[in-house]
Amino acid sequence: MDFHFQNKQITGVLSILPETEYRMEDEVIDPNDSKVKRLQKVIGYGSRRRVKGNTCMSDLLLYGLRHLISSQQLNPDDIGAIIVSTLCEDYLLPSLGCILQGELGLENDVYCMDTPQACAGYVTGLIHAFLLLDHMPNKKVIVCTGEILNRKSDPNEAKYEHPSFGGDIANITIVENCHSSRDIYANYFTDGSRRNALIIEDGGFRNPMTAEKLKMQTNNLPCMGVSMDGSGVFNFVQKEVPPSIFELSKQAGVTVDDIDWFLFHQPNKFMLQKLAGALGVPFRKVPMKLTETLGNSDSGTIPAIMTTEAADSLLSHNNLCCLSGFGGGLTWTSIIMDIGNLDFCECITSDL
Amino acid sequence: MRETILNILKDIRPEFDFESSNNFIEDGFLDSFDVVTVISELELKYNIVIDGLAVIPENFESLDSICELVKKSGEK
Repeated sequence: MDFHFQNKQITGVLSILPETEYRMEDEVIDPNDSKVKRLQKVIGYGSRRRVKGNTCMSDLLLYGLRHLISSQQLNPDDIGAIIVSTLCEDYLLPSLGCILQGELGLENDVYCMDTPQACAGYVTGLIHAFLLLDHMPNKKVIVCTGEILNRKSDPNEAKYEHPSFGGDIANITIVENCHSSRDIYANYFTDGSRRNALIIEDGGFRNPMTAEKLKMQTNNLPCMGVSMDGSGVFNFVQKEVPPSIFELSKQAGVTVDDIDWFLFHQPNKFMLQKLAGALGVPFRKVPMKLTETLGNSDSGTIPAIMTTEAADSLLSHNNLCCLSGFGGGLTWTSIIMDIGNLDFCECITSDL
Repeated sequence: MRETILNILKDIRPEFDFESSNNFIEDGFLDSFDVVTVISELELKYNIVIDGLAVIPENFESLDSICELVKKSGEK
């Protein structure tokens, strides 16, 4: 599906980090294992953040929202909608959007929606925000993303043979109407026939969680039982994403050479280098250090590179950006838009 | 080239006898992490860039298929 939006912009991005930082070496059985060392070099495993054992997504998001409100970067009366994209809901019911609305004491007509779109969650969240803004000319949409898949109830529990790819983070993006921005182009694709390539099989109604499964997951599978056909997912990204970006560029009337930043989901350094190669763009335009510093946080990666590697540029001047999320579904979705002169673009550390 | 590639494979997974396998992937000698490592080593050794679309299991199932991939990627 193709989208064309006008008069919309991102005005601020905030990342909220847990305070606990650890190194990849801390979570593997043998950090000197040659395979672990090679993976560290090629994939880019490095440091990670992990929330405390009882911290939930709403805690991180409320920490950030209250920070923005208390620093007068966000007026709660301006919020017209809250979109949350995460796999880490506090409860099966109610949704996180409703929890945030209630905790902040927002008006009852604030539109609240959760969209668990995993690695494509940030881009789909922005698409929803752009759609909603046509119906709320004087309001802002808050797009919340991130994951806490690294959470451990017992920090001393068993270590892993291979390091986990994940990292905990929450992000808040402010999206609003404007009258001067360049048009925004987006596309969205899904192929559910390949859904098993990236799946968390247990914990839903198909395969309810049991004590035995939970023990197996936490002891043996990093990131709470994410099962992935690594080669299948890699090949999917290389095959589907570049042509969809070339097509989107045509629709936007630009070439990939015109784009200042390729703000991609961050699975690993190797995949991003191959993606940059397929697009024929220099590595300097494709931030890819996040897997070394904060890890792959699914829906949280794109705003995380905005508040870290690209922050100075996004604060100081306008940039033509291509955002692309790809993963579970399998889904791939991209946006080409101007982002810059942001009111804020920062990363804060919580005590959570 | 075969000997060099065999040494790279042995270095990555020394516990396996690659010469006895007809399919490194099906026999469990190489997983997706290993394939990434093999690609990295091949690119460094032969000063080539392997196309992302070529990163499929079929290209890593035997010494012959890996040699063919290296040749296609620019090694003469």
